[in-house]
Amino acid sequence: MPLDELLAWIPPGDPDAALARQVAFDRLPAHVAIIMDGNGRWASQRHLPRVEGHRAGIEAVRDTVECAARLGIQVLTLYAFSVENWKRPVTEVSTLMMLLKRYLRSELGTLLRNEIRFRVIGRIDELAPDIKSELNEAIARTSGNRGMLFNIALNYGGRAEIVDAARRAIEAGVRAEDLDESRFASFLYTAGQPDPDLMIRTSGEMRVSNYLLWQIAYAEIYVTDTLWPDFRRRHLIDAVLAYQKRERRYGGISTPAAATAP
Amino acid sequence: MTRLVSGVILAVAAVAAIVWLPLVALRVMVAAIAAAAAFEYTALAGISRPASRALVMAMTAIACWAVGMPAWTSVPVTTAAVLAWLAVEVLLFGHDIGGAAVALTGAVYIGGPLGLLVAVHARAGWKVTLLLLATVVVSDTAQYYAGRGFGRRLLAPVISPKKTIEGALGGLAGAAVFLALAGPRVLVGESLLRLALLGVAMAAVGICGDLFESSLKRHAGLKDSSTLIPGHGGVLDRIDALLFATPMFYLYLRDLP
Repeated sequence: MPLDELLAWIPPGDPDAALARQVAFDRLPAHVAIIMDGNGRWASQRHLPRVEGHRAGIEAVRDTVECAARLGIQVLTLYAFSVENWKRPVTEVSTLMMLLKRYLRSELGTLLRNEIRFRVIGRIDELAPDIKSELNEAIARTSGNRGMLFNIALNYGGRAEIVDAARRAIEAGVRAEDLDESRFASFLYTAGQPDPDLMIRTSGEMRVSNYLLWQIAYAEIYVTDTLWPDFRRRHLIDAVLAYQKRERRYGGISTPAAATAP
Repeated sequence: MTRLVSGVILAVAAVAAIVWLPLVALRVMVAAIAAAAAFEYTALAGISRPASRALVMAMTAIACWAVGMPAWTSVPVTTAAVLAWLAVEVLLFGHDIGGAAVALTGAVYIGGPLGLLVAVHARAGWKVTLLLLATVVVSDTAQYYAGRGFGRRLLAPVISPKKTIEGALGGLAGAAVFLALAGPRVLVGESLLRLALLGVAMAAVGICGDLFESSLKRHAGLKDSSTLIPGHGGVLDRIDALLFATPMFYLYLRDLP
């Protein structure tokens, strides 16, 4: 039972336990995608260097990954580094990459213990060789896991992904009349995964920022003012609860069953 | 009795400030403590002229404030400020280089570490800050009881007639065990071994800080740094080990993912 898994992890008497009990586990979002925004702002509010915000953000990643796995979410995708992020100062980029490496090393145990499968989406070939080998190591070690799929979007761009998919479709020799939406989706990085039902963005920004453009067609968007380093399991549960209160129509009109649902 | 009462009041006030005060208020409070400690330092260091003492106190508070904001800390600005201060000490106050260096040391010795204490809070929050303080307190307490129970050989007979090698070892062990037990609750994902080693290192530099301050007092011919805290002596007497242990803790924290 996901509720038991979750409650076993939350210390007794913690208010998060009451929050966890409100979750309807039969109506969980299958795929949650998160834009981790606000590390720099968190740091500057404290007069700390920006990189300190990224370091602090690692703790939020840990908590979120484990909470999502215990909730019973099938796929979690975190936006770590976009194709545009190379424009940032060199020291910031190298710190981000170093943090990614250390995170993978220190958290491999948690990933294995929670049966989490690790994947990377994005133009991985353009990353440094040491990062690539670290990523491949984590992917290989967790490939046998049966639990949550955990995607990290690295050197990722939504438009780049669509262009890459189109190239691959052409290379595969797909005829124009055979190409439909589901065929096209099978060429995306996320082939075979359910589309995100819930997209969370932290730090109050109302932008999609070139994230999973194809996949979020019908995603519910949840924006919180919480900055990413402050994001914890209760914020994730809050987002899931908000999602479960929404009425999803996919362009149709609400059905009587949905209208009378509690 | 006075010692116990003022000790409890101090502990409660420190914990309350760390848990509830917003960061800005904490900065102000810690800078004020730094200025008070700098006042005691000037007495120990033989700086007697009021303008000199006021300058050391002000610069220590400023150093504490600046170090507590690592994003603002700038080597060129620090260099310019230090040179300006040296010029004032030598050209205006007529101190020799030694006297000027004694004044500057106050800001480095007190302002730097207390600034890093605020930076620890800014970076990692109140729980980690309390962990740092508790480790130093546990090390001090373990040293005291281990020394009383097993103390035979003196650690530094010239500086401190009471500190023993056995007491010091008790402090190292106490800090290591405490950090290994309490650390994982606050610093998630840290290995017990690394935490225990951090405890040993913090206790060791803490003992150095303790001896450093004792040595200052010995040279000045004083028993306590002041009588600001009833039963405890002065502010410096309370924070001597913390001043040396904080930079070590900050560096450890900075290199964590």
